[in-house]
Amino acid sequence: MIRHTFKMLWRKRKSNFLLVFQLFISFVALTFFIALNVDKFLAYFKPYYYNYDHVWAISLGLDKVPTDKAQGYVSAIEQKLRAMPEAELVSNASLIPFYSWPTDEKAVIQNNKLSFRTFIADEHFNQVLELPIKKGRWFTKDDRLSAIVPIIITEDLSEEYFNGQDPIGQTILLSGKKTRIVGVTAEYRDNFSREIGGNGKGYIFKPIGPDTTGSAILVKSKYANNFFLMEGKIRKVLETIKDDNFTVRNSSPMNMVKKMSNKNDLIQLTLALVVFGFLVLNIFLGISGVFSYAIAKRRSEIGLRVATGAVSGNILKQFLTETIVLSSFATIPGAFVALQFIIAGFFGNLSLREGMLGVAGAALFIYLLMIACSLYPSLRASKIQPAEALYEE
Amino acid sequence: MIKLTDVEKVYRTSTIETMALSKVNIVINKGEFVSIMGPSGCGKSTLLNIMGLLDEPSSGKIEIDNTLISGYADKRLAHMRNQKLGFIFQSYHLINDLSVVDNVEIPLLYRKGVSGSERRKKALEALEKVGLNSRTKHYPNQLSGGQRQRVAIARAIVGNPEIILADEPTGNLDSVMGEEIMNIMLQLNKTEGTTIVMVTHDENMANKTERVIRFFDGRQVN
Repeated sequence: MIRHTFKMLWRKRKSNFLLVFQLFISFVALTFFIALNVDKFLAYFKPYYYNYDHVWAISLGLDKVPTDKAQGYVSAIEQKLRAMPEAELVSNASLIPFYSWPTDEKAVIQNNKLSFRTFIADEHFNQVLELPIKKGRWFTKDDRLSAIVPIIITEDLSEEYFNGQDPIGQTILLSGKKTRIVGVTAEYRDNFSREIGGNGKGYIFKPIGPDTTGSAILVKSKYANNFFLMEGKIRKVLETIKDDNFTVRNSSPMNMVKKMSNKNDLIQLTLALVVFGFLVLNIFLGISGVFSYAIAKRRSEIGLRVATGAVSGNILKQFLTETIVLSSFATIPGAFVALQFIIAGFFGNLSLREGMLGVAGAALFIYLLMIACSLYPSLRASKIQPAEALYEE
Repeated sequence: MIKLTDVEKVYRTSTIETMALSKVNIVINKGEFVSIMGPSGCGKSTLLNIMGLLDEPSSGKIEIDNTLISGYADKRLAHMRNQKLGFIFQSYHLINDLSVVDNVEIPLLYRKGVSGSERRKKALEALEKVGLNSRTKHYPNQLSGGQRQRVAIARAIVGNPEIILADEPTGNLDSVMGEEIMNIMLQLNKTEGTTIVMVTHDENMANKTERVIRFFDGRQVN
């Protein structure tokens, strides 16, 4: 039956060309989209390797404040926060999980020219968030003045680009400057909408330098459930900075920051799904219409098949098989073309595994969509009365 | 072979009731070549559809090969059509996107246990019987009307059915081609013993068959 269907469709390839071409383009685009995002999707199911439960996050607006002044303000705030009996540790960084977006920086790692997501962090950051060190060490105060900037990479970056070699001590070019890897942390992950930028895998942490300061301050609380007590004290500390250009963008517990971030993700995802759903519905209606028209033109063929012994199940199977074969005319060359692009490195660091997952996801979507589009017209075809169909002109 | 007893067919709409067949009683014996004649709209094709199990009578009984056809599920009727019946239509009903040999194979696609190579072998044999073995790879639109009808005959006989139901098989053909088709059917009837029921408007063709059943306004008149 497959051979019979294949022959029929091959013969009709010219009239089906536009539909197949549309499916081919959609399939390739969908493959790339899935391949480029599959790790971000899968990362969502991974655990957070850090702990934010007892952390208070402050984001400062320092854009309009000169660097030397900003450093002074941050240092003063840090000192006062450290003096609070409830504060166990205080860290200055450019990173607040679920709140900050990373910076994209170009890097050359083991001959791979990629862009990576980077953050700056001080020597207390990993302790505040309890981010485990897998190899080497975290930053020390001396790193701020080091001639070759020390950096710390995440474990996924290490695994992806160092192929089992020890990355500690290796130098890489980051934004054209020589840097040396001094440590490897557990994987860092954020909420979905913040997993953007950088075509390289993983994150890079840089130390706070003599001329830089982070706009984020993280305070780890000594005691659980004392945030209400801390809130007033932190507000008072922040109010000591009297400068019109200095603003406090956020001051709240990390749990709250995450909740807000989840809410934003949900809104964005819902909007994206609504738009995507609307597009899919339009495609569904369009292709269903094409199938309905094509099947209506084949009523006498259906009548003949029933006259020669086909039951309604055979007719349904015939049209669904045609749909699958027709989709395969697009997906098989589509998979070949998409994988060629991925293998040739057209998308930078995309691995064959990601490419294969992209192909599988795109194929699943295209086949399900096409089967859904053809199901109703095929069901109607299977109910056609042969005595009527055979005598229609 | 085929026995119709008090068969009636009524088409009903919300306002009109049309009696297409009224109290039809016909017995067609094994190996007979019978033609059914009558003016347009007298119920000939309806009768053929009922004999071919493509349509249900409103009342009455149908027996094929001494088997009473009553309350059969679609699957059983389809099986009977596939095993015992072959159809030839005035407008051929060939699938233009399939080659001649693939068209002939169609009834065997719905027969269990027939392999691809066996299907091909039987289809080529059927095409040889109708003298079309040189056109097996052609497509229907590359053939003349007579050749197309020969393909349709090959498709009807490929499964070795006991009965062939032909609805105006020469209706779209000129007299020479019509003769050719008629001769093939006569040959089949004579050499293979196939029972043939043919609906026709052509008195000459009907006279070549063993028996003529005439219809007028849904009634059998002889």
